[in-house]
Amino acid sequence: MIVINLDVMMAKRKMSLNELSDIVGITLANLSVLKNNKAKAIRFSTLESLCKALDCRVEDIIEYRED
Amino acid sequence: MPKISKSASTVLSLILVVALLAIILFFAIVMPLVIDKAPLMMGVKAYFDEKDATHVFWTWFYLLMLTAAVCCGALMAILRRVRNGLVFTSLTVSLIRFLSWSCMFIAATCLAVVYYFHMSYILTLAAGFLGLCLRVVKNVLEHANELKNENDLTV
Repeated sequence: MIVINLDVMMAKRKMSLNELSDIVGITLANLSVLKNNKAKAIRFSTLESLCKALDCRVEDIIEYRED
Repeated sequence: MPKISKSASTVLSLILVVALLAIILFFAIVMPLVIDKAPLMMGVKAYFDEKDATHVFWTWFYLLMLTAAVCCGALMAILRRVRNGLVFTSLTVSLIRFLSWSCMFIAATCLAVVYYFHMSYILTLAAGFLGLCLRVVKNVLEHANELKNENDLTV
């Protein structure tokens, strides 16, 4: 399964959900959906914005784990 | 053909459904009083009288009226939801499923009286076909609902 480690990166960068939402331009609700692993899909543009805002790589946010 | 706006179209549909419900209620109340005088129904009633099945006729008639009235209620519920922007929801799918099965029920009741009234097989085919069309619409809406949910959860 695919796991989103957004909260881990946010903690490392000491960034709140509100701040990230303002920088990336995604609503709090959508970021919350992503953070809680409820999202069904993520756009490349969203991934790019997140990596830029958190100064990290894609694999820092998205991880594959065996079920 | 002149085109009207979406909201005007929905309101028109609502008005037509309410009008149909009023007609159904009118016939349900008035029919027992005028059936011997109504030219259209006289032939039908004569069939049933001949076969000594007046009770079958009235049972069939009121079953149809009741089902049609309930279906009008379902149609109004669907149109109200559409007006409120709640189109692709599981409840809308359920209401259309209910309409489809109601049409199948009407087809079944018409088939049941075909022994008494041979022409009812035409109603059976019409109601069955409509039920099938609604079933397909329900399938399409179900898939659309799924696609919408997936799109809603795309960040």
